[in-house]
Amino acid sequence: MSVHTHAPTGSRFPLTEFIRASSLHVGAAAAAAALRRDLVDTGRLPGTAFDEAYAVARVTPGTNLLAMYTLLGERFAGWPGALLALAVGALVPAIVAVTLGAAYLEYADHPLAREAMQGARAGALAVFTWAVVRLLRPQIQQHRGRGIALALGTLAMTLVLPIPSFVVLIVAGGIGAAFLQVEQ
Amino acid sequence: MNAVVLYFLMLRATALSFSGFASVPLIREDLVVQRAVLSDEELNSAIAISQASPGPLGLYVVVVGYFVAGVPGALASALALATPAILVIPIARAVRRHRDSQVRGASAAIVIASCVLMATTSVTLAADAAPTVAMAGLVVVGFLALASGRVPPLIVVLGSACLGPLLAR
Repeated sequence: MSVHTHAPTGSRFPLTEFIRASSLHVGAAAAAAALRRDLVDTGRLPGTAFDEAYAVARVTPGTNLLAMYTLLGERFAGWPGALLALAVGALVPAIVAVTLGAAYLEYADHPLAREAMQGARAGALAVFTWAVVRLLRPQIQQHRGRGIALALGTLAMTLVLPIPSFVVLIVAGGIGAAFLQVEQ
Repeated sequence: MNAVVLYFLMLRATALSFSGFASVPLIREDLVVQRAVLSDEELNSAIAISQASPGPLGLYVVVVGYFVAGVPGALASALALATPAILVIPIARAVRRHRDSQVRGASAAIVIASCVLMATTSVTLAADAAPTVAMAGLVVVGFLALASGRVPPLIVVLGSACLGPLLAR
């Protein structure tokens, strides 16, 4: 993996493409696919550079999609481009989400809104639970016995020991660095 | 709640997660259990609202911030969501120069541990999200629809919202 800091020659900063990806697509996969189409399929960025940014973003902490925006922005305009892409990626959807949140608070007492939101929360729980399966399955397939042992150990630690969740994650990270090393 | 404190709580949660929803257990522990400035219903609602919004899954923290501390809370949470991404460039360069395999091992382990925390959190959240048999059925149907690979999360959440008034009566 290598991130080049040189902007692609002859390419303007793709501000419109970043705004479009961050405002029209729900979820990282859809936004990443849209950006790939707009940047790679149009010949403005090599496919390898896009894949590299996607891969690096996946293995660094934080929100993967925002990390990818940052790395792609850096490709086009260095640090200023990275910060601009990050600002667009974070603020545009945040404005939409806060507007929806404000509308929810405004109408939370209306019976129909309350019942619709109860249904939406059930749907969100399904999405949340499915996210657990989607995230865990490839890790268990890759690490098998050690991965299962780590999952069971984490479960035991969570249920038995009164320690904060972030400590659980830090301990797991240390164990993973020692016993789950992944060669590329 | 003070927006600066909220920023650091959100930053700790987002910086320790490798996917959007992986921060839910930490945020619930901080804001619902320890500080009682958010309810499980509001946390579930924030997740549902973020599912109907464009952008990353982790965007629910912005809605949580808005519920807890208004617009300053939303801004603090958006900043906390963006901060780890600022660090991604130097981190990526350091990772490439040194100990790539150990970092990947640590990342994989944190993802596995996050999934366990998320699973236990989903059990807790189910008390609010699925209080009746009909709502529990909606969760199961939504899960199966997602597992089929043919239905996107947005449709599951919006479809559930449409069915909510019918199933609640």
